[in-house]
Amino acid sequence: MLKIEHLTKTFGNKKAVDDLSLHIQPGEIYGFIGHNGAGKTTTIKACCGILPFDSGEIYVDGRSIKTEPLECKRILAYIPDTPDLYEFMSGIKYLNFIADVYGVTAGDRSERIRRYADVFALTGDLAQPISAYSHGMKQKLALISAWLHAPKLIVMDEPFVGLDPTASYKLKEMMRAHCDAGGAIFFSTHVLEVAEKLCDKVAIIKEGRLLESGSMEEVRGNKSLENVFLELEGDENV
Amino acid sequence: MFKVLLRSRLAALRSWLNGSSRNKKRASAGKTVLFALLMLYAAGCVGFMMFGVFSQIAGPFAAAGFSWLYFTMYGLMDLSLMVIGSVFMAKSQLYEARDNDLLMSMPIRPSDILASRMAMLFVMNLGMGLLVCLPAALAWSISGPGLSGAGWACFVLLSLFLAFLALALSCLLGWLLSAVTARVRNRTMMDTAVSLAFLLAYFYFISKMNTAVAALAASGASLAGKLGAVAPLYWLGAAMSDGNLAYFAYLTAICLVPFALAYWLLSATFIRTATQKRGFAKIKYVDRGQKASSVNVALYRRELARFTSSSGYLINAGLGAVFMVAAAVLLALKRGTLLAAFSAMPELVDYAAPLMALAVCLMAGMTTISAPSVSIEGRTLWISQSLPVPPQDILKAKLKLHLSIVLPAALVDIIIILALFRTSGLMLAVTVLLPLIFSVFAAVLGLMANLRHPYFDWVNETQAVKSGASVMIAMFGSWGMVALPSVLLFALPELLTPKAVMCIFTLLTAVLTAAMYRWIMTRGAKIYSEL
Repeated sequence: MLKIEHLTKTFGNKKAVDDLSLHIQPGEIYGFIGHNGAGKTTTIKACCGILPFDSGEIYVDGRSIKTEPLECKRILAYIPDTPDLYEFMSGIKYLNFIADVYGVTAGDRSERIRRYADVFALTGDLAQPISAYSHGMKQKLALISAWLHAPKLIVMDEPFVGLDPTASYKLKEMMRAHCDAGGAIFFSTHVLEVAEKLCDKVAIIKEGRLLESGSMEEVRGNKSLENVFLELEGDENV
Repeated sequence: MFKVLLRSRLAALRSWLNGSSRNKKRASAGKTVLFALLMLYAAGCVGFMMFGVFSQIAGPFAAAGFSWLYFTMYGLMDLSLMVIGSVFMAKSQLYEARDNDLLMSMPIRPSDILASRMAMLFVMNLGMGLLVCLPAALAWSISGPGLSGAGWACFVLLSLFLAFLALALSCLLGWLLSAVTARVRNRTMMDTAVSLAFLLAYFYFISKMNTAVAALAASGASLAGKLGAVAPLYWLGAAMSDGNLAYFAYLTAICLVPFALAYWLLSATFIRTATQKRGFAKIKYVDRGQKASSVNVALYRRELARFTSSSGYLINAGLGAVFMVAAAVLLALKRGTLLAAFSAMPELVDYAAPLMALAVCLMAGMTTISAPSVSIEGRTLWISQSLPVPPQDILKAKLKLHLSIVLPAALVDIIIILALFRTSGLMLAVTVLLPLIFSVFAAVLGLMANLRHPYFDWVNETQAVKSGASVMIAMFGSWGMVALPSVLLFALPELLTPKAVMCIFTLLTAVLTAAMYRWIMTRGAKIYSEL
């Protein structure tokens, strides 16, 4: 579903991502772990066609994000690390805007908005302007908009930040259901416990370079993911 | 702490001058120089206009013994420009800045936050003031008798002090606007209404001041001692023209005392005003099913919603269109006066309609909706970039919004012009086509300028709309373009007839518009997708 091959991206003299290769299959929840500034967001933005990269290739469902960006964007959804949405719109207008752009029919969007807004207990607030939303409410709205057009691939940058425990639980359920239905999810997180319980595969990145990747069992072995992460990161103070 | 805050404001200003920080690229030295030249050109245009005005009045006023009146008029013009230019910026910078919460959570005195922001507004006021001050001084030196040493000292110092008075007025008016609009549900509408009311009241006040100045001129300087409330106007002019130190001292107090009071009042209420919350009731969502629209309609609606949700965007970028409609009404009402004016100049009668069309172009150049349309996306730019929509479609939606506002206004003007002035043949075509083509020219120029000079480090939307280089380029570029026919006629009077000039100008505008549109759809679209 998502194939990253030898991705390299530099900002000035700094290599933010260095020769990174990953392969996310349909049905997989793929966790992306690394310290702050490791290159996670840069990789994620490159995968979604938001950030041009220097070398390498990224394929979404077999299509190159470089040469066929619109086709790739049509089948993926992206949620950034901060839910900066259109504050001049109400929640329902924002969802309708997204649905219009992705060509979701009136019937489908009505049913999906109803379903996902109920899941995140946001239905009563949909008429409110987004400027009146809390951070968590904006994050919920961003999540609903991501699921609204039934994408094959969902790419998320720190999706659990700002969510209340109930919403986090519901999101995990939705992620699993999406992948069980044949979709794929690639997401970054700092919450290693969540990654450990939720992900089928995981990749650990440091200073733009891939340190370890594979199934959770392969990466973790007999240890906890936290221990593996700290060992790989070479944090001697822990 | 004040220095640290001031440094951060200057860093933001530097970042703006160096180009966008979003793409982590700094403008090359060449681009910075080009940008500086453009700014210089824009300032030069305004300065040249001011110089023209002052040059005309300097000689006659000096000859009639009304030197003080020249400087009174200079002072009023200087003060008006600074207050009008900074009041909305003061409101948004002081009380609605995005980083207010962050700064107020730090161990910083509110007075320091306020002072750092006021310092930047003061610098802005000084910059605007120079656009009036330098031409006034130059015109008086060339066409008037010049000033004594004391006169020059008073002129320089009072010009500086007037910037303090303007700052006090704009901060207080900004505070008033912010306080009035803070608790209103439909804030955009309220902001727009209050802002327009303020502008009308301000223009009324200035016109009354002009009447007072005229009364002063009629009464003569000998009455200065019995002038009552308008005496400061005489003191202002006389302090500068005669170097009168007593009047200088009065004016210094008049400028600096309100500033000190304003600073004291605002710093005492800064936290309360800056943290005021809008207490409107919750809107209950009722699920009535959803309706689908096409992508292009959705993109246009998004641009329209953004435009109508921000009073700063509405007023600053859409005022030209309002002027166009107002001008049509005025043309219809003052039909007789205008026709009489043109019949007094028989050589211009044949060109009355195309000349009026040029005036419409000037107002179309004031409509700058497309010029900040990329910058205003700010932190939400990721949404456009992640959508499966070609960047060309997004840019087209921005142009469509601009044109859907300005073209109907231009059409109204054209209809009124055609109803008032008889014209035929080529000049009829020019009268009809030029305002329409020029409206498109102004729209594509603004968008192209914004793609070249996006500005994402704004603290509030008004800053994005007013401070961006693209807005200045769009407005002054359009005005510069409108001046081209006069330049052609002046430079090549033997070679070109006015009719030929108007035809060439219309054609040139169309060609330039097509070229810029092509650039937007190719290079511009690539720039947009990589911002």
